[in-house]
Amino acid sequence: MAECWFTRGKIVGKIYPYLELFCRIIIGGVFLWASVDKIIDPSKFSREISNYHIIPFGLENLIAIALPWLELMIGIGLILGFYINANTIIAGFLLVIFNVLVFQAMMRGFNIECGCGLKEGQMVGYGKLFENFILLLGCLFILKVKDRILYFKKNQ
Amino acid sequence: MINNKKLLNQIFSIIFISVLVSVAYNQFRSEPLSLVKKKIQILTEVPSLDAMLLEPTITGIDINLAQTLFENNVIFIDARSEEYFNEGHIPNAICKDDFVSLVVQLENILGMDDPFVVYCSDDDCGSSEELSYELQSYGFNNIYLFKGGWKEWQNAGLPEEK
Repeated sequence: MAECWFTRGKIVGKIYPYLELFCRIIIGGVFLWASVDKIIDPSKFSREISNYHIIPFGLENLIAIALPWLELMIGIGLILGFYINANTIIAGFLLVIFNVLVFQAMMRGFNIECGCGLKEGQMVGYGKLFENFILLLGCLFILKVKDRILYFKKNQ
Repeated sequence: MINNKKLLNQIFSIIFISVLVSVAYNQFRSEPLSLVKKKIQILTEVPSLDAMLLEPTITGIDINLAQTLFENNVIFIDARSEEYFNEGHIPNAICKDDFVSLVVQLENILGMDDPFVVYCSDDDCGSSEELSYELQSYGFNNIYLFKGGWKEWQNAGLPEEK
């Protein structure tokens, strides 16, 4: 297989597994932290989802119940090294969805809390879009790196 | 290298287990959240006092009923920030950025079963609904939510105060 710029260079290549672990811990930690408040108070999270005015058929509650647990699973999976690829793909997909929701809210002029669960009172805005974009780049990096450390090999 | 079918199986397994655990956990909560959200009902006329006091409620109201309640000296609470409140609001409305200060003021002028109206900037703002639920959790039993808010009030040419 031909070497690309990403895999070229022995010294740089040795750093990638550690960088990949770093990304997993950061992204996993963010998802884990974000899930806690939402699991404790799903009704508040449901109201925050309602504020986006985009979810039909009263499905806000179902999303508010299920999404935090999915975030918790992703967080644990990434940090402990279970199903890394699958968890990273779901995380990346969620980050894209979150950014679409935040962007449409901004375009419609909604000045609302993002409901991200990371920081009380965090509003939708370009800062949030940038934050999610950086995490998304981290997800792409995790998927790209093949030499990993500290993970369950049977579950990949 | 992991194959795509195995990867898809893993993705669906993670999602399936998450949904299963979350729904099961929700059912064992002391106050389970209903899976489908009930929309706040919009009233167009004032119900009887008996009906109002049956159970703690948050009732959506339209501009006509908001005006009727205003003319009957019902208290209005502005859920926007004080910065916007100072630029213009419904006469005699109350606005506090701090929830505790708001509750203390309300307790001084209202009983827990007395009606009051909560509003924010317009139908899209969400903060009036948020505040209504917080006040309901605190113990206020008879909350009216004016979803059209300040924008609809202004458009209707009703009295304003600065």
